[in-house]
Amino acid sequence: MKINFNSISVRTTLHITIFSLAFTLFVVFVVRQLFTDSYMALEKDKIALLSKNIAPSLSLNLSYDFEDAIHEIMQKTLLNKNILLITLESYEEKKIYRFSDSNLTMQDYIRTKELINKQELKDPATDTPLGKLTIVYSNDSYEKYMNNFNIWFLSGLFAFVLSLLLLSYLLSESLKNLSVLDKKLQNFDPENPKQIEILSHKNDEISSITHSANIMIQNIVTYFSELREISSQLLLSQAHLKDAQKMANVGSIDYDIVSGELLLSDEYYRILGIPLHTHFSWANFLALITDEDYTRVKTILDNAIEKRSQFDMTYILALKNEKKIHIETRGKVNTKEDGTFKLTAISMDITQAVQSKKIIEQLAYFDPLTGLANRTLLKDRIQQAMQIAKRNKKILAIIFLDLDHFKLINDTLGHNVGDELLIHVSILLKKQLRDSDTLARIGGDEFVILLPSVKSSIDVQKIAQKIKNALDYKHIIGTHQLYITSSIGVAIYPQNGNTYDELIRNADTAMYEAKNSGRNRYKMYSEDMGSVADEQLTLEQDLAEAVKNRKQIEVYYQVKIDTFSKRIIGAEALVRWNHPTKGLIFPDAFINMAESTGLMIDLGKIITQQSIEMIKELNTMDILDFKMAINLSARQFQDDALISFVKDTLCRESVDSSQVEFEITESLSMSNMDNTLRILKELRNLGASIAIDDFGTGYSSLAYLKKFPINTLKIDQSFVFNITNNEDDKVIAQTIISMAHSLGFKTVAEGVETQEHVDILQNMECDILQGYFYSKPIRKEAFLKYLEEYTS
Amino acid sequence: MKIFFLLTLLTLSLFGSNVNESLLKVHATLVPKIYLMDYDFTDKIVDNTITIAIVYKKIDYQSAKELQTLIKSRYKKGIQYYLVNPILVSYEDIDTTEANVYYLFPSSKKMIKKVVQRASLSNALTFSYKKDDLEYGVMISLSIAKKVKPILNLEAIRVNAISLRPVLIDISVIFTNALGLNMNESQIKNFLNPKKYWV
Repeated sequence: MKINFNSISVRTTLHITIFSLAFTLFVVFVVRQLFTDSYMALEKDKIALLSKNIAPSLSLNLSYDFEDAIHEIMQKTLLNKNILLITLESYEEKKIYRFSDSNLTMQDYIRTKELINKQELKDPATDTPLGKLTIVYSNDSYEKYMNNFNIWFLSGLFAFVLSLLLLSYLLSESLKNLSVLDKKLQNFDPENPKQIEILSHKNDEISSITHSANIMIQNIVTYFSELREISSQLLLSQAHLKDAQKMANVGSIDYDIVSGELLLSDEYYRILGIPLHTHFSWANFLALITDEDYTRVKTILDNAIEKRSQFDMTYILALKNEKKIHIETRGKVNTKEDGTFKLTAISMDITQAVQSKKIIEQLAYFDPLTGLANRTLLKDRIQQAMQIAKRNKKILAIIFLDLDHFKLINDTLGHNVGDELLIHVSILLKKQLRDSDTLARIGGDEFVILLPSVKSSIDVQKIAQKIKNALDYKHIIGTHQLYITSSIGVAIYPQNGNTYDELIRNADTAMYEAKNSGRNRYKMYSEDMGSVADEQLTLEQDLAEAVKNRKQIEVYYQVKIDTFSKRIIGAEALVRWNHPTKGLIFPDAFINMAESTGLMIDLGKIITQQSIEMIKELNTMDILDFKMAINLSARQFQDDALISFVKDTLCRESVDSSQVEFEITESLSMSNMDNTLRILKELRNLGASIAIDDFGTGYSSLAYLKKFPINTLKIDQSFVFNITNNEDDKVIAQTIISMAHSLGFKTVAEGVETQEHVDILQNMECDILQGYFYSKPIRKEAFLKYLEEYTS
Repeated sequence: MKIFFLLTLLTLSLFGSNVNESLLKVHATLVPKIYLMDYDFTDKIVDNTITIAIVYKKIDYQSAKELQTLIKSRYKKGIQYYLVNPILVSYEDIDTTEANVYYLFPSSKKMIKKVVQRASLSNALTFSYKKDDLEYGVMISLSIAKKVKPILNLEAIRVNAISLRPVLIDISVIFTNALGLNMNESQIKNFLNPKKYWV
């Protein structure tokens, strides 16, 4: 049987045994001695009392020299069996009285440890020493007493050992369940937790411990569960943090100022462009700071370390790969209770932000195409210049320049060419100006020049003339040779205005005046020009309102006649603006305005919708083979929602797409070919027809005509108008018709006004005729009546 | 030796008041010592001297003289801190004699009682050569039997208000006769504690 000396039962038994042994030894060595001393003291007292009792009589008898009396007393004393010897030594007589039943000497009694009492006898009257009384007392009673003591002690010890063994057994039995509990707890598996059965049915400590252990197990299970959840959340948070740092270009830095240890987050390694976990010291970090920023950054950091304060700074790091990055760092230096003295910070790579800021600033104040000042910067410069001029009592000039027919270049040659032209013009204009002057592009082909320091209006006129002349010749833009002119308006501060808006508006008005006066010239602002510009502005506002309300926009229809059958085969939808005060306004007066103000897309939608609604109405009147021609402008082609709008409208009105034909101008079709081709194809895919309007006035090539999904060519009315008396126009018309037919296109002649026109075009086998000869563009109601009358 | 001593003593008694010289030696030794057994003797002595009046009849003058000589020689330097002064006094002169101890040689009953009376005036201790004189009120004598022991007349001692040390009583024989002392055991015990007894 293996004894576990660490078990409670064994330890308790051992403790009891050890303490009992100690107690026993104490009893044996101390108590026994105490008992011995006490008993001996009692015995000695007894002898002393005996001695004391006989001493006075003996003393007096000795003093009176009564020997017989002395003998009698001593013999009587010897009757006590415990007294082995009694002697009396007389000092005066030098005599010793000795009484004993044995012959043993005093030395023998001393050796056998008998009790010996010695007392000096004195004369009771005079206190004079007379002799010495010695009594030897037997220690038999002591031996007997101690023997009894030992017997009782050994008996008690034996009983105690028996009790100890019984106690050990009972303890072992009581604590056996503890070992079982111990094994169950050792085998506790947190992955598969099981409750421990109650080991004892008694309401004792072990059942209480078992119950507590079960509560502890339940708590551990709960704790592990929460720990797992927290751990997974922590891992998730760490992953999110890493991702967030990566996405935000934010790295963290932890520098132990005492030990010099530097810890960088993964993202910081990436920002610095060094492999992960490469040894990187604080000195290495400082070495990356550019010379321009080093002193400032070092001062901020030293200051934060000294004051245990927060810091926020931006600086540039020159990386090993010679790349420079902008860094923003926010951090703090603190001392914790555990004695650590750390600098912790987060750093963000703000290079992109800095660059973006620069770009934003550039966009905010400069024209992205030409790099010239934009309207905002121009306004600021003009206001500053006005203040200076006002203070110095000087004048300044605003030159407003607009390129003549730039829209045509844009529409015909494309925006790329237009943009290149604008850049080219800006370079030319810069060359004409002083450094102190400001050249700005405020939109489209509009340039504004600020001349902050001019002496007189004559000087300004010279500069305006010089600028006009600089542009007025042939320019090579890519593969194109372009002849451009400009219209210039000039306003002078303070004569023509005291505010920025006033000066710009007046210069703009002068520029319009120059355009209205035949373009390619400059005009100095005068007060009588103001009303024209205001009128233009008011008209723009009215158009915006009209488009918004739709009520003032009305579609007129001009009939199309089949040349040979003379049957009405369709009409062209033409927009009119019923202005509330100015009356009916024709497209020439507001289409360009709609284009430049961005209203064209909405206006186009109104026209398209009304036209399709008209088809639906005609269909309800059983006029089914009727095709409506709708004009599309260049701006509408920039509308991504054009196709879906047409499709939705056709669907909503239940009109077949084959009843719709879209007309585009020849110049539109030639500009931005790819986009135009894509939209035309989509319109064709819907089932609509495509017609080229005003054919013959543009620069289209046969290759393009072949490439485009065209159904019809409309001969410009300028050819038709003179077809009767101009042989060239007649040849051109004939050529167009022949070419169209050979390419599989139908032809429409516009501007048919006389029977002669009809006859000639019929001879040329032109397919469709349109013009005042049949009907001018008329309102819907009139058109319906016309149809009715024409048919009848 | 003891038998010889007793025979001699018996012979002497047959021929009037002959005094045994050996017995005188014992008396000469014991009388001053026994006087010291009185608790109050220090209050009684004058000039630090224990005066022992040796009262005699003419016939015993020589014996008295002998006793005086024996006492003087025995206590030449005194006893303890006190001088011992034995003086010779005849029965006739007893009235004028002041002493601490009266040692009485044999005499008539009348004379013995006279001395006893004189002694009682000064609380003096009376000591007789003959133990028979104890019947007449003498306090102490010697019992010459198998053993020599003091014999005490406790009644006379009590009457004279003398307190003796108990040990003396322990070693002594208590005198009893038909006329004399009738003290029982308890009275004797009380006598051992005289202060209590007299109270």
